Amino acid sequence: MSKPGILFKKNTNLIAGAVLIGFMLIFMLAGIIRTPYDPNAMDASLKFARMSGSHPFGCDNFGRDILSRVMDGSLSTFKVALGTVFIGTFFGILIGASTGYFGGAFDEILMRINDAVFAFPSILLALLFISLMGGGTYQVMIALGIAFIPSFARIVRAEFLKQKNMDYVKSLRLLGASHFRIMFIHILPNTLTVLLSSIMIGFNNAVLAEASMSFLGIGVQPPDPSLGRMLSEAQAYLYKAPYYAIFPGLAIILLILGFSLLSDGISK
Amino acid sequence: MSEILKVEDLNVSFRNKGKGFFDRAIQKQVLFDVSLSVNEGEIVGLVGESGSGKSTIAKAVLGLVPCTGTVTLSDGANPRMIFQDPAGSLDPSKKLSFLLEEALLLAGEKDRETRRKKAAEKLEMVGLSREFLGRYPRELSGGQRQRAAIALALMQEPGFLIADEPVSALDVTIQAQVLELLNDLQEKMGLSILFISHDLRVVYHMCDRVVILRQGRVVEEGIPEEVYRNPQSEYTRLLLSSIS
Repeated sequence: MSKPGILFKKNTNLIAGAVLIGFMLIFMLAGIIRTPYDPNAMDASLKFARMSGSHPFGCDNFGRDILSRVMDGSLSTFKVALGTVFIGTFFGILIGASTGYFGGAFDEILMRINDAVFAFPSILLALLFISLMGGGTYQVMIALGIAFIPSFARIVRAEFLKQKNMDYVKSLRLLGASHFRIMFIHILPNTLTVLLSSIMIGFNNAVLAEASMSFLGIGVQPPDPSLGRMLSEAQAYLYKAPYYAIFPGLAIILLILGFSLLSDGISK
Repeated sequence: MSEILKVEDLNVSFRNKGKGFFDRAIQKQVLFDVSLSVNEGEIVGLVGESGSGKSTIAKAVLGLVPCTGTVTLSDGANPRMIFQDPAGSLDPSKKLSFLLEEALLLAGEKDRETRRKKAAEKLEMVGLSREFLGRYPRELSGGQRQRAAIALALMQEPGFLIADEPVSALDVTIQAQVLELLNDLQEKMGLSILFISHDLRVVYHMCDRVVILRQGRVVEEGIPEEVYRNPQSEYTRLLLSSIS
């Protein structure tokens, strides 16, 4: 385990990741406060307007400002990723901690269910949920979140299995600490490095998954922008207005690159 | 002198489940009709090679493993344990103050100030200044860590300690200091200690009585001087010849 003080020194991955994600966060925060134009305002006279001083990323097929839409779209993609990772981590920790710590038949049963869910590609599983619950931002969040639980549960379980046989757990039992206290006050903080690293990878996958689902048209609903939606709309005009696809794509790349660098940096 | 711990006909066996799903579980007995006792204020050494079941006796006494036979602890015993590797027996994510105060909290001490004061007291008792309260276990040396672990074990005022190879993971010079500390504490607090070790020399200096264990059976028991001078069993003779 690395000490927080020396975490940043000589850790190029961590610094680069933090810079990229920091940049994207500022970009999105600026979008919350104010976007240059209303991301959904259409203007026929600006249809496929080229990149210019007033519209630095140009305009799309409805004459909407692409910069404003990328800002807003990154934010909604990020929101879905955040929700997905939160659901995945929360339930992943609950399941992983209890199965790893208690073991036995309970562990066996839950982990086999886990394996079954794990066996499906997360996108396919999410598609199934969407077809049952209908599309939309929150539905995608829940669907992807559920699909993400098994991988988190496995990681947390493995860590708990390792930690529960340590002497400090026995010592705490002798002092009269409850299982709940040992699991969440003592063992969980010791799994933090591993957990953080996999949360970052989770973000990574969630951004990708959201983008692919929106690309397929079942994620964030129009007219609200999301990076995946913009890409799917842009593909029809790839020759006419390549910048329409380039900028949302760039935003996705920066997010994913940032999170995977962070994850590498943390696990070091 | 009354007995603080009395173990009679202790049998422990583990089920060794095979790796595969359909593998049969194998029953392996590790302790056979072990009987021993610790009197109040006494240090009893438990000696044997690795795998002889020393630690299993400790776990059985503390109720950490299922066993048959009778284990009787007297009322004030309130047993606590000191582990071999102090790196593993203190939660690495918490400061010493948290760990020590938590022990009091779990014992039902509600007042925060009292908890703080007692934590510092116990720490000083084991020879660490109170500034160690703000440190993490990883910031301590092996010897300091074992002292902190002893302080933690003493937090709930036990009458009986089980020390499972408490110095085996330490440097030789530090070993002597920690042993001396245990001796001091035993005298000052009137503790009873079950001292588990594989080192006959350490046991000779520390203990009032010694129990020698081999493959889960008690082979010899007595006062160290007598056992060492005139060993009754073949195995004890073998052990002794290996150190002299």
